[in-house]
Amino acid sequence: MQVLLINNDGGGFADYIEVPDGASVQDVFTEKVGNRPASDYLIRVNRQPCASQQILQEGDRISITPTKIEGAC
Amino acid sequence: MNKNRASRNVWLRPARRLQQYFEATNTNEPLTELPVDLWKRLEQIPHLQETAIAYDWLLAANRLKREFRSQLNQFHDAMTLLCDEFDRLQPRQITPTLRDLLADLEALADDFSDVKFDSSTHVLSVTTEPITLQEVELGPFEIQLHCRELQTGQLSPYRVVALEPNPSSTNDEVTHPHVQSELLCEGDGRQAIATALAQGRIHDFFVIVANLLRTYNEGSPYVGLDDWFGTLCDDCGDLRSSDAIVSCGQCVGAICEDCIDRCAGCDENTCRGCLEACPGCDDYCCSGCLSRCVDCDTACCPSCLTDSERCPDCHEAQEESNEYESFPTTEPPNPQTGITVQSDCVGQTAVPA
Repeated sequence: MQVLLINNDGGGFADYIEVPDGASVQDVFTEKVGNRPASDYLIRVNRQPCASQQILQEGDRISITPTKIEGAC
Repeated sequence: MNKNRASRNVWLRPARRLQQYFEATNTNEPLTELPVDLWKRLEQIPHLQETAIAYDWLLAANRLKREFRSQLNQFHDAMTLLCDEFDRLQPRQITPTLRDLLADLEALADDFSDVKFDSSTHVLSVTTEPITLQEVELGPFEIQLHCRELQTGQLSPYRVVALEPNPSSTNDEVTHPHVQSELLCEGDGRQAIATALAQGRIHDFFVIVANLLRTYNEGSPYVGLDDWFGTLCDDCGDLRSSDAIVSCGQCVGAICEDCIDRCAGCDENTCRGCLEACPGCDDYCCSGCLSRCVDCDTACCPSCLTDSERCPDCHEAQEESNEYESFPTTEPPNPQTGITVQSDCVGQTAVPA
């Protein structure tokens, strides 16, 4: 199934990605972000807070935004 | 359900306005100019070549033929570049729908305490919680998205306004280590902010900016938090903590411990700019302790200025002058002749044998 992934870490790209049926938010996070702690990210599904084990549905919108983004001059 | 409906009603109009802005931004992007000059030259060359052949100018005809090929290559490259440029100007993978924008506005209302859309100024704003970084209280910030600037393609169509400003003591315009004159230094967030705005993801945009405000990068601030309450030395420009700064007794400037000097006359803390060297003793004194020589107007310290209010040089000159005046300029009358002998070179007179 397809879900929309918005990864605001770095480039902030938004892409439709294929995920297997029954994939959880944690699965997508681990695949796309790696082993970095989830606590460093604001993870939303359809703009709402979600549990890591929440099962994704077709067309869901997942956004991953770092909570610590460093400004620089 | 009723709450959701009420919420949707509140945000429907702002969402429609925003959609208009984003649609206009899509169509307002100027198209790149065509390589008209190259094309005109390509049109000219065959005519010139015909003329050259007609006049039997074979070398010129050959040169024009080569130029035609070269111009064709250039035109081809220019067109390829145009295609790339055109594709680059279409970064949006998602155009925000009214539904997206409405959902974004509702999510903003959940995430931020105060979300407003001012229909007269066309500014959508959210307010953060009071932000404290390394125990420095910076207060809440209002992040303002100026929707009209979205259309004009401004690089930063938003402002970050401190609602209870606690600016750096060295610069009133710096209200946050990464905010100066209401402009955020985006750093690592630059690309994510640009993409979020380009795609009309306003919820992501506000969340990214708020997260930037909640993070301190000590490697590259406008003013570091360690120096937030510091003071700049007016002399060397270094930033020092307030207790390492002294006020100049003359100009009241802020001077650091390394730059502060003392007046040799009154011993007051004084910056170097307010001290002047006495030409007599080379001691540095403030203007209050220096007095002017009545002859040459040079500033002298009290110990070097004589009773006659002259600097040592003028005093010496005066002394010499006095001695010179007291020394007789004419010889006493010769007791034998009774004729006064004039000084040498002052005039001549016959000297009796």
